[in-house]
Amino acid sequence: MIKIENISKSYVKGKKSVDNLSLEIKDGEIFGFLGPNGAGKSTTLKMITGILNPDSGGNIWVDGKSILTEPLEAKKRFGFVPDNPDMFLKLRGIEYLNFLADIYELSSADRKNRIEELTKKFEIYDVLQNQMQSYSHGMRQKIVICGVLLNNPQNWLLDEPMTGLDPKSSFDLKEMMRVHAKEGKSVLFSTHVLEVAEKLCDRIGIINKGKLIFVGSYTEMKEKFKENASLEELFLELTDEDK
Amino acid sequence: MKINKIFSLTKVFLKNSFKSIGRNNADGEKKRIGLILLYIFSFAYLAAIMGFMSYGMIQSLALIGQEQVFLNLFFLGLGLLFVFQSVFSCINVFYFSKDVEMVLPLPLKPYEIILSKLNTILVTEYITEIIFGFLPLMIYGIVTSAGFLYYIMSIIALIVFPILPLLLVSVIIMIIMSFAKITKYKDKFQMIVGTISILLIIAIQFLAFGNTEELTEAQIAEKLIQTNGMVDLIGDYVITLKPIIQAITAENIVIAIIEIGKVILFTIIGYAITLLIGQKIYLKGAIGSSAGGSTKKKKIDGQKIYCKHIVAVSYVKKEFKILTRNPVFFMQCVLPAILMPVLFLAIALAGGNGASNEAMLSVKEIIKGVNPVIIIFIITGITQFLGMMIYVATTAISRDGQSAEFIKYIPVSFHKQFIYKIIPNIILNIISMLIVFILVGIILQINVYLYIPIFIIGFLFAVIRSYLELLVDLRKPKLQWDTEYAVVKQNMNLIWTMIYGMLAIGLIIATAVIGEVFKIDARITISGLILALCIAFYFLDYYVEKKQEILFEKIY
Ligand SMILES: Nc1ncnc2c1ncn2[C@@H]1O[C@H](COP(=O)(O)OP(=O)(O)OP(=O)(O)O)[C@@H](O)[C@H]1O
Ligand SMILES: [Mg+2]
Repeated sequence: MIKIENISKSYVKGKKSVDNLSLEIKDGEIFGFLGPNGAGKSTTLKMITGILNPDSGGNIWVDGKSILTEPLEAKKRFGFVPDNPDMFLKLRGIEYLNFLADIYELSSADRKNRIEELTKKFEIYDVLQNQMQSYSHGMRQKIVICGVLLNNPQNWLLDEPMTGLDPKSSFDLKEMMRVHAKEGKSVLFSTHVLEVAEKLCDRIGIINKGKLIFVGSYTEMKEKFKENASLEELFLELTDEDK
Repeated sequence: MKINKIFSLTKVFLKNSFKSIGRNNADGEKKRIGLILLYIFSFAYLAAIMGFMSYGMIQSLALIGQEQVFLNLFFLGLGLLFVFQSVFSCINVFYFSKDVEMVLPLPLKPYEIILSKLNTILVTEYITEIIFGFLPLMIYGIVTSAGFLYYIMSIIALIVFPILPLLLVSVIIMIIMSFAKITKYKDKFQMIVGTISILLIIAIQFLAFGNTEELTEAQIAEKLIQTNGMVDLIGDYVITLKPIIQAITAENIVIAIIEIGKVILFTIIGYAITLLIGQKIYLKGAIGSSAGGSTKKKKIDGQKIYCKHIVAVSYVKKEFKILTRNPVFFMQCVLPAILMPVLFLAIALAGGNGASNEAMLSVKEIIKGVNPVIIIFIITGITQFLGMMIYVATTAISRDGQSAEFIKYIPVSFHKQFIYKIIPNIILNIISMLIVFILVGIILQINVYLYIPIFIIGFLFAVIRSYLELLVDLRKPKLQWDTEYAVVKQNMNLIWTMIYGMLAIGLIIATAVIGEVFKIDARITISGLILALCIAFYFLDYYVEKKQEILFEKIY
């Protein structure tokens, strides 16, 4: 469960990239975070994960642990896939995964099973011995996702996880999200693509220019469009996009 | 026309590689100007050293009326410097800089890219020239009371001279890159080329100046003339060397113009050849070169690979892997820790087994009489001096680049990660210290017990410096970079490594002086210093722990 209360962030004074945002992602829920480029999706995710400090005032809890006052406890409770998967490219894939397993203190047996299971599923098992700089964008994306899933975190945070994945991997990832939510865990991911949100998410939040302008299910959203022309416009902007 | 295109392309490349200085405009003009002044000061300092050394050489040569030998040596040295600089720059700028990928799809002809890239490198070489080349030539002019023509010709020579070595190197590198498909082994290739170049520089130093210790001016001059024989030899191959020297020493303007005309002609021909060859082969090597890394399929062998480690070990291992696998980081951060003391050792040994054996004996005699405290302080000072060349802590965050945000979202406290990040720096300092111990052990044979306080003091200083250096990097991490050079070379923060090293040396000297002046017992002085360092360490660590959230705020 993730709870965000009244957080704001300005990178430069006077210009709010995220503006007084409140949000709750319940256990067992897949939540899609939608918005055009520069809307503030990544900024919000970075605040949840502790990468960015929010401007004073609000607070963020991950399973009841505040990222501001109990950061370590909070950080143990989520796994984060950043938007840029180019990480530690000089490490071999297997070294990267082992390093993460050490950080999350997985036992030798556990990590062996997890790593083999996950990487075989994503079809990167065969390249684990190569340095990650030889991986394609999608492969890097996959290994970062595998790394996050190693210790099976209670909450998943993913920043545009589908970009760069081929259809099969994209499908697999979505399936895994569903399974994860069924186990009573929560998933929060950002995307530009409305269609993904429609098929996958229990609820969606639409953010534009730092402000959350809609939260609810897909059908609720459709209802709302009938009343609100500017939301409709944004909707078009999002659906117009190529998949 | 085309010129315009090339000009703007050059500007883009230059901006890309000098971004470092212009970035971070958020934190105030004043600070930036201060840092730039600091840089100018250090450059001026280097230039002054060069000038001073040249003055000495010219004087010794003038005594025997051979001052022109200096010009030969000067241009030979400058040429070698440019060859080495070009090897690094060409590989990096032509093949491994990220802007290559951006430029390749644009509708540009290969020769336009090559010309712009060459210009980019040339600009950096001119900066080198201003630092190392300008003053010696001016001093030569003054000492030999040369005429106006000399100065004009010198400046033209300085402008033209770097071009040909650069062209030569770039052609060679383009050929290697297109033939050998070396790009697959990019990292190893760069490491090998880099290490060989450094070893070559050292070897040449030895050949040329074997042991210069305790020589009289006349002997120095003799040595220099011997080296000059090498110039004649090489001069036949480096075709611009002789005409350039003839041009600047020409008696009348006609000869000067003819000779410099030759140089310019050679350069133009060089350009033509380079562009012709480059047009054909550059793209072949450049495409896909920034990807690198082999893609062999290998089986994951055995259980051992899945072995669990504690976080600290795993983290430090990761740091070392990235340090040693990245050729630029390896060469700039790891190699100096090992090579510098070895160089030191080698020079001292060369001095020891040559003419000055008696000198060595007398040094040993003197040392027996000297207060061991002084020896402790001197050797500790040397270890701190060598520590100034180890930039691992100063770049620990910046090296991660865009992956740095990883630090922020893993469940390991910032304080712990701070310590893991500086451990490689401390380890390299210890290695460097141990090499110094071996050197001192071989040459001076001091009492073994002296090593204990030296090690303790040196170690404490290394730890404290590492803390301070990482604090510098945290205050202004440089996370957006295209090439690794931006982190380990064009990085203002590096100057703090030097400053802290000098402060450490200053503190050591101050302690020694206080001990001498107040006639304090040696054991008390040393214990006092150790105690003071421990207290300083305690407070530093306390500060880092208390302020960790704020200290890591700039990483995102
Ligand atoms: N490091 C930064 N410094 C200054 N401003 C920033 C920085 N990062 C983001 N911003 C600004 O904050 C706003 C929100 O950016 P953010 O990255 O959160 O958008 P996003 O919704 O993730 O967009 P995208 O879909 O393109 O990923 C933008 O206006 C952007 O200009
Ligand atoms: Mg984003």
